[in-house]
Amino acid sequence: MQLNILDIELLEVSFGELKALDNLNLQIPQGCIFGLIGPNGAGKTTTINCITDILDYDLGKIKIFGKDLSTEGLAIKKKMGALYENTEDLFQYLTGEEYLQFTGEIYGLDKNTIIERSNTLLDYFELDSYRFMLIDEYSKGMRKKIALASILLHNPDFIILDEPFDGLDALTVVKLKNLLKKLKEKEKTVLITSHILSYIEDLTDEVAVINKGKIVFQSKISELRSKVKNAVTNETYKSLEEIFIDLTNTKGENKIENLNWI
Amino acid sequence: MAIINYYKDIKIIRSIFRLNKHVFFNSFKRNDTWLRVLTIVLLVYILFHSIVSGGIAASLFKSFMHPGDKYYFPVINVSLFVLFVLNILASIYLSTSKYSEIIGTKLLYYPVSAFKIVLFGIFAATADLYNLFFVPFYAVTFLVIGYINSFTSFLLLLVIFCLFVMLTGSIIYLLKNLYLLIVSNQRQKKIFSYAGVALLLLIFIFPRETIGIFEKVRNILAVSKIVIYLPSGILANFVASTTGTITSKFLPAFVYFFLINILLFDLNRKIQKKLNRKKSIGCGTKFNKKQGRLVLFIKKHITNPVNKKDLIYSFRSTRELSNYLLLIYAYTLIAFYSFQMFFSHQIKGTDILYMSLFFIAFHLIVILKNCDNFFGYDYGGVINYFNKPLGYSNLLKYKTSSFNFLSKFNFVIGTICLIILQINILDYLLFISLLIITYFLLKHLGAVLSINHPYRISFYGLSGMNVSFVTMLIILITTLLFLVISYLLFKELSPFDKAIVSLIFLVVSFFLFKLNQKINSYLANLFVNKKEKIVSTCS
Repeated sequence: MQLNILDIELLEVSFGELKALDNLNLQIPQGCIFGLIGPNGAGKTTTINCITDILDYDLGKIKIFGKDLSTEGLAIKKKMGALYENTEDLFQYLTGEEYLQFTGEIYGLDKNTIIERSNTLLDYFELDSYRFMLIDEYSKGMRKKIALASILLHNPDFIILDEPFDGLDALTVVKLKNLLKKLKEKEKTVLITSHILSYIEDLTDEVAVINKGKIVFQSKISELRSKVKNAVTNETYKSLEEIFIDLTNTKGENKIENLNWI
Repeated sequence: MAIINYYKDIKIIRSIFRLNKHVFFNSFKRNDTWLRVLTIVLLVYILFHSIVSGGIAASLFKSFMHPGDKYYFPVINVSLFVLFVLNILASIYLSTSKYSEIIGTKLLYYPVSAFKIVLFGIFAATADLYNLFFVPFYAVTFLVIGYINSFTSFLLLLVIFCLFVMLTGSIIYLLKNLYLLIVSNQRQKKIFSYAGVALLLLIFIFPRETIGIFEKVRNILAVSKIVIYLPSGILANFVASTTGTITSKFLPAFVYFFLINILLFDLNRKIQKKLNRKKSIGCGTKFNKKQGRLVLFIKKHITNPVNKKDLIYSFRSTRELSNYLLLIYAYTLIAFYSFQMFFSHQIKGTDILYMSLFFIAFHLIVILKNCDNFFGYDYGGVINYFNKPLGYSNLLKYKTSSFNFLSKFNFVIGTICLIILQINILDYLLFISLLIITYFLLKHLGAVLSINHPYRISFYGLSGMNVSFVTMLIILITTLLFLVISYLLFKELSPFDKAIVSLIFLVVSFFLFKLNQKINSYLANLFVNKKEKIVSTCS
């Protein structure tokens, strides 16, 4: 039986009246590149914040590496790395190099390893010539790159990437794709969210669709096209995009005709 | 066509006014604490301003009623000059709606020419709510003065007065943009901050000389020919002429204000252009590969990553650096006065009381000020403390280390100063025990306040608060409480009682020390409960 790296059971999070996560269940097997997609405000970031222990959940259970997050958070975090959608979540007044050093030291890496890995990562993400520049002065893409470098520094087993492609140039997108392939080879587990569905379809092994705080669909990518769209005609889905729209646009409205004044 | 364009411009100006209004009133909506702070600041400001402007307006009116008085013109001149300067400084300092930034940068995205952006900016600065607070008092005064004379003088005064108000707006806009231009560059930011601190140091180290300079300036202002030719002086001269040849004075005054307005407009246009250019410079053009020696030293010798990061921040943040400079300055003062007292043999009896109280107050205010909002500079980076394997107890330990260091520093300096002063051993014991107990109490209080009331501090700016409103209130109350208790203890207790109280304090401190682990665990639990608030407030 394949071990689940992440096991979420009946997770519930409410912000006042709003139920952000509603009895959410999610399992991610070890060594899987897992895509989590959903419309804006569906609960993707809330789920990630719960998994990374930034947000306390009201009900439910999160197990990572088979350990309970609420009691063994510290041990779990040592083997995890998370990239957030918001690129402001960095120490803006440290230089890129200093931020990597800070991260390495927090994870208990020795000085030489930090220097060696930092150099490799800065070189890979083409930040080498910007290493002495304050993160505050970085562009959005550069911030994303330094954040990516920082989460890889301690060679984590479970990596969370919230909108990793957002703000990246074409070359870095290719580099990130190659990196994901490398992580796959090394049997690392990756949870990735993105609005670019073609990337998700190309890069992941399994995908789940979240809508209104619930997982409404989960399937292996290889089985996507065999999913039946219409039971009467036996028509199957042609792409992930088709599934996504079918599941999230519940009202079936387009409203483009309202923009006739354009 | 031209009329339609003017109409469009008026509509844009109206939109900017509305924008200012929304920015101003929305700033009240951020959260309840902010609302309270702003309301209090505003009320104090209005009260202070009403008293000052009302007083000046009354003196203006009074001097007008006695035109034969030899002080008539100097009174108007000096009063207007004070109002003029006060108006500009207060408007710049207190303005919460950042017109320069809003108008200068955001309007660039819309189809509005650079010329009009500056024009609208000046209009907006003129109609700044804080600027407008100043206007009614002297407007009413002048217009009443004009009206008493004749309708013509009323109208002429109105024209000159409008030009004067517009000129004030132009100066406010210019100074704001100049400030933004200065702080857009890190090196200039630092120089600007150091200059501010250096000025403060000079004022405090040489108070007599400074007062002397102020007196000289005041004396010069009353008679100086330079002040007469400043906008306030020209307006004063024009108001004074309302008793006589107002029409003949109108043209020179009009030409003066008109030309200065044009000049300022051109200057504003140039500064705005530079500012826009600075703002649109891409990344990678502003950084310096050279690292300061202190930063290199910290990187080499400090092993803990959180302390290392905080220390690097301390040397990069002009605000934090200013705090530390003020700290050094205050200690220099204490040392200076201790030695002065010792060598002049002035210290005797209860004099020590004030010295001790000063130390304790200092301990409370300055040290706590640096340590009761320890996430203030972290911004979004605060997330790193919670998603990385740091542990809440460790985080607490690292974050309170600067407090520990400063307290020890305060303790050592205090001890040295009091030894120099050769004070009574029982007073000394009481002083030390007070410092120790305040250390333990404040350490935990600072942590509780930091966790419960995080507050985002501007990294480079010097104005604004270092802590949340609630924290500030608690610090003030705690400081007062400690001062009153300390005062009573020093003043009222017999030597024997002093020894007993010192002993009690030391015993309590010992228990607090023993309970340190348990208190830290409690505070670590607080972290767990408050991390979302900390992340959302700081980000």
